[in-house]
Amino acid sequence: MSKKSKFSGIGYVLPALFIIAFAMLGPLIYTIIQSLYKSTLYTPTWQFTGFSQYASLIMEDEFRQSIGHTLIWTVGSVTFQFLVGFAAAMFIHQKFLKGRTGLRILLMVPWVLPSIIGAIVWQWMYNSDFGIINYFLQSIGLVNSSVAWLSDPKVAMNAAIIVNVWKMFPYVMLMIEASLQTVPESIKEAAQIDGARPIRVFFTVTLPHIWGTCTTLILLLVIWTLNAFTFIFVLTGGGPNNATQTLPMYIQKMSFQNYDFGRASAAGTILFIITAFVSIVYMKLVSRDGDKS
Amino acid sequence: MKKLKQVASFALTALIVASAMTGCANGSSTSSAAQSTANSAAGPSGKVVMWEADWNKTVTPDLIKEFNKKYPNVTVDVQYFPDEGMSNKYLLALQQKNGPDVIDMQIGWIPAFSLSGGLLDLTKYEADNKLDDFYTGALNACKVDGKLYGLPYRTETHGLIYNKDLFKAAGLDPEKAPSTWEEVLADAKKLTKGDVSGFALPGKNPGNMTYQLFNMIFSKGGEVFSSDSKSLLLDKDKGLQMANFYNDMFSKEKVVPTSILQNDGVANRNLFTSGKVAMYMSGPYDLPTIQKANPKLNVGTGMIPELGTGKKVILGGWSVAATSYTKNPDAAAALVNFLTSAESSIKYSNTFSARKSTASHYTDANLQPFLKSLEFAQTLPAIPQLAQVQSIASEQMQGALAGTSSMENAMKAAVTKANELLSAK
Repeated sequence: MSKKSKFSGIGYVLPALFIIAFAMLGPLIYTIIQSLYKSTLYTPTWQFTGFSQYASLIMEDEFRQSIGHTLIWTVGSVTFQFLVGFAAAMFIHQKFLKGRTGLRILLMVPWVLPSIIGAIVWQWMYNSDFGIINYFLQSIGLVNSSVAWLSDPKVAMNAAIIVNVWKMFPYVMLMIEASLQTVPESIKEAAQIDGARPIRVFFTVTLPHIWGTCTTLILLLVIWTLNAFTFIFVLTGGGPNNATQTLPMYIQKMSFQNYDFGRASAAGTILFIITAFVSIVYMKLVSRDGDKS
Repeated sequence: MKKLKQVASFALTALIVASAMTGCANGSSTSSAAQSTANSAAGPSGKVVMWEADWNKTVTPDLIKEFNKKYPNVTVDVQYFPDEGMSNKYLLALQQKNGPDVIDMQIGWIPAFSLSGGLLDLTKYEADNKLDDFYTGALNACKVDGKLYGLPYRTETHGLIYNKDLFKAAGLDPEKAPSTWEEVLADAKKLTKGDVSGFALPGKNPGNMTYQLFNMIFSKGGEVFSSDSKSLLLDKDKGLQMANFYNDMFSKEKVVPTSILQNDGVANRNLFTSGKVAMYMSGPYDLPTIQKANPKLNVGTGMIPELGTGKKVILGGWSVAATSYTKNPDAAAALVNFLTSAESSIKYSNTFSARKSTASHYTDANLQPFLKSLEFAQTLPAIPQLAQVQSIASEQMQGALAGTSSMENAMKAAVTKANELLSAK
């Protein structure tokens, strides 16, 4: 590479860099600064309070509960998004299957459908009086009385996770299947000739090949789910009695219902730290694994 | 040559970005220049940007045409927004002093929004306006510390909406709405059959839930807040009595759909429209929607049970306000006054006008109970933390409805939390 082409490279990325800095870095810094000030609708000027808003957040039950809910929401969602997506990819990758293209398109529907529409449809399906899910479960005799999917504090979070899995598994399927297609047939055949059974072939040939895709995918899913807002907002609104209030919901409530922008910024910064921490630790773990192999 | 091309392409990219940015800046500077020159002409003139609710799309353009007949030098640019997230959007714009000149907003938002410093005190523009023609409750709601931050054009209260055919089928008089809460319960029990529930209450959406509970308490002659607005009274007397009634209708008497915690006001309207619910409480704005969705439905209306002299019902409504940072306050105030006049507000409001002199305009039989209710209508106290208190109360109500605590303990918890907030300021 000559010097001048390096210069032109910077030239090309500079506009994009400028926009990213303007659209992402700016608000981030603003939020962190605001988190150190008391800034509500009722205080016309910002008052510096240091880390006291962080301290009071950590002392608050509702905030700690929302962190717990975020954890359940993220682990539950990502685990099943990945497993279901992976299984669907393995299934759709089978050559003996007829009409794979049609099936693939059909399975992509949840992902293509706008989240808000999906959420509203699920909300009605979950309805304890008129929802199709209860109707179905009752007609096959699995439950006696209708399940209050979104109203029962013990069930509501699981119901929201199911919707999130439904939404994102096609994306996992798409990525894994694309990755599966890059596994060279020749190596698989060589392993088979050496006497390896399908399961052995999967673990020694296929899985190492697609491992990189899997790890990136999980990281993306974790980040998206930590910050996910739409489904819980539409399905339960964080209720009943805050049973499904995740951190993004808490932040939204703090800023746009309580108009306590400083506190919301502190909570937002904590969410940012959690996301960054999880991402860095995860990448460290994954890349160390990569070194070993 | 190659280098030249690269430099040229970079320069071009930079130019595009730069021109896009200056493009915005130019736009605003020319318009403000136009405004300042126009201001010197006689009468208000120039450009006014108005933020409007999207359900008014069918009426606002005609009103603006009429406005322009009176004020030909003012250009009004109306921008429409959906209900979802509306108050947040408006508040942020007011805080940043960066938004429209005129806003159509809920009366209840005025106290909180005025604190942002983004609303214009209209007092000096109202010398010729007949302010005593407004329903007192609605006008008072627009005043904060003696300053007038908006004018009401639409007022309404909740009433009882019921299905006459279901009443007939249950052996009840379809022409008479229940007038006490005991009657409501007795009727609801008779009406609850198969997949039809006698009564609907919301268990979702803090605004919807507390609106109904507060109206029930007011209809008993009770109070929700202490007179100094420093404490919430839901844990005692009429407050607790009606909170328990709310819960009992669902948990004990089972006359409310089991999906209560999923249902907000709109969901209840839909259940009523599809004939799955026989009675519910809402405003007159639901009537055309029900009629349109299910023309066969035989709808009857009544006042909130037990409402009468010495009692009250929550006054809801919409108002038009101008912003404090408008470059064209004269034109903005002219638009506010035009839209809130008696003639305009009849067309503008999709319920009732906020002007007393328009009452004879509303002749539909189903509207009469709602019109009569306006006599008893008062807004909720103008405390900026109202939304927060509503949220606290509704969360605790949800806990009780979900069976995780008794309604009494829930209301005690709500009062403790809310009082902390109310006394903090």
